[in-house]
Amino acid sequence: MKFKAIIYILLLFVSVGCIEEYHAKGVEELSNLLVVEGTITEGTTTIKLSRSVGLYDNASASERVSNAIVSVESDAGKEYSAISGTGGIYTIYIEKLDPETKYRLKIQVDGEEYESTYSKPILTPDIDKIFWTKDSNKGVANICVTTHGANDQPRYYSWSYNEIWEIRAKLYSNFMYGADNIIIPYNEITGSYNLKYYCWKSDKSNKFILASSDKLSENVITEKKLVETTPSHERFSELYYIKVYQNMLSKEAYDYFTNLQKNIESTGSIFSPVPSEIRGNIFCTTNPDIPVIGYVDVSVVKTKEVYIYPDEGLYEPKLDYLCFSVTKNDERYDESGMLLYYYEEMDPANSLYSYPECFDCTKRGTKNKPNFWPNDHK
Amino acid sequence: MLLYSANWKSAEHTIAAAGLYKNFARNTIEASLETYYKTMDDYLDYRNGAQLLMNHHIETDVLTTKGRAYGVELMFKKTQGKLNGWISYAYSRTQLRQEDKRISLPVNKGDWYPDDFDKPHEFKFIGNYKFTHRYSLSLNCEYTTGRPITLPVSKYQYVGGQYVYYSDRNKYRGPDYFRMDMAFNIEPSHHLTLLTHSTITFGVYNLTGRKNAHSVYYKSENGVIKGYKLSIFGSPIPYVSYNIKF
Repeated sequence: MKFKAIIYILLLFVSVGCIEEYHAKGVEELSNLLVVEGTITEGTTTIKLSRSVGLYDNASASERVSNAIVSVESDAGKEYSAISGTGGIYTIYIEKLDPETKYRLKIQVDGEEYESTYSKPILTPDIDKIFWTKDSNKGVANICVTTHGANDQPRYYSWSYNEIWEIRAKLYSNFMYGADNIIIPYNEITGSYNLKYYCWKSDKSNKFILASSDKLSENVITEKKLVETTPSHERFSELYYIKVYQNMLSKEAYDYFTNLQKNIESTGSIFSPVPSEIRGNIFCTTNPDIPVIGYVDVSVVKTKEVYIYPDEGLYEPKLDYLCFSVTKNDERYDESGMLLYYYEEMDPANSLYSYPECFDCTKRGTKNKPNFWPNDHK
Repeated sequence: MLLYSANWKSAEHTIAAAGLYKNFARNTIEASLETYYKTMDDYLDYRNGAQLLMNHHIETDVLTTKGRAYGVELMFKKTQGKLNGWISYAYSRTQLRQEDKRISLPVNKGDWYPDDFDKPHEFKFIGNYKFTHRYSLSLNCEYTTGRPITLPVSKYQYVGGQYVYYSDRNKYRGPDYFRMDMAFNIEPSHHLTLLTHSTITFGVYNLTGRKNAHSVYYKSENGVIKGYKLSIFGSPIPYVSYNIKF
């Protein structure tokens, strides 16, 4: 027994914290670097301008730049001006990109001028397929994409996505409160619907999703994971929608984005190379020493949308013990948390109570139903 | 770490060194002062944004650099008596520079930058105290300047997530390194006729339990950048060793 205790104490000594948080001291923080995000594409090009902030500044404080003059210029002498929106977002409309013409982005802001390098548009191929895969044993569900390009095209791809899903409250409430807390039962004929039953939620990609086929003989990307989640995630519980944006990239853009992603995923191991900056394709022409962050490619963006219905077999509900309903006399009735949700007009004593999370979907989602949503849920 | 191949010239080093040596106190204390200067040609270092894993053309991601290393070391050594050991201080630098005109974006704009193992100040102490012929205590102390590190200096939003902008290569210093080890040695027998002589040592490595940084790195967690320090042997490690000499 004593021997065991000694072993434990020794183990404790040896195993105490090998990785701990670190705040570097005496670092001159650099802020106010111009950050340019976007791709020159056909139709509407969206360019987002912001400025970098100090490392320990508030995360959301990334400053938007709204006072810039932005345009796209072609080497055929055409110039397309941007409409500046709020929040540092600029939109430029180009009906058609000519495959033989070179385009570049021009920005004027705070007395400096910036330009991206000229390049010809890359004709991104269509997305072949968006599909799901799952491994129930491991509890993994993925949304994947497959695509292919011609062998003489670039072999680098990036994706981003928006997803929207419907959620449904676990319990259906049958009334609403009117003025003076009068109970009014829902009535679909008179148009009073339960608006706490169906809600919607959305999310979008928040990192680079990149792949290349440069080590393959064919320019094919199969089963690239876009969303990695679990089969029990609520996003699959009702109707799920995803819109995928696909871009074919130049090698330079791919290397640049790969490096940015690598710089925030380092593990500090002995063999990891020193993190470093490589330059994008945007330069400050008035002062070449000012670094600029971002890479603006010229590429025709392709999109594809799919719905995943709950009867496709992807969703595996988790057992939910919390959502039950009880009468006021039941011993499980929780006066501090439960609310009336099912009103028995004939026999009010048998009315049911439950937790608001169980019958009010607005506790988890919003009522922002997209106008293209393919069902009539209210 | 990097293998030399047909794609690289082998590195060439030229070194010049000089020293002053003097003994004091009836030759029981040896003092030395040494200095050196070394130049290196075609020394290899990573290109900015180097991709090391699964890269079939790794030669395109390393660059040949020029290097220089120089320093002075002062040392006192006591070889006899109950208390013996040595104490030393060294100031040394190792710096690299990418000045090949064919490189479009040299590391740190072609200026001199510290090598990954550039540790200017190094102080060492090793002491032994013999209580008797049988029992002795030894102490080992080491202090060095922290290794050079490259730190993020700015952050920004891109594609919906948070990213960081890194400083010039090796512009900053990690935390200083300090370690103290202590050991108690027992020599059970001094019989000259024995076939083997053995010693038993009870010791503690890193007695003060200082969490010396092996590396410092930054990563994104749920879209927020956090800095981490990785330390190896960051606590006192007791050990027992049994040595046999023959």
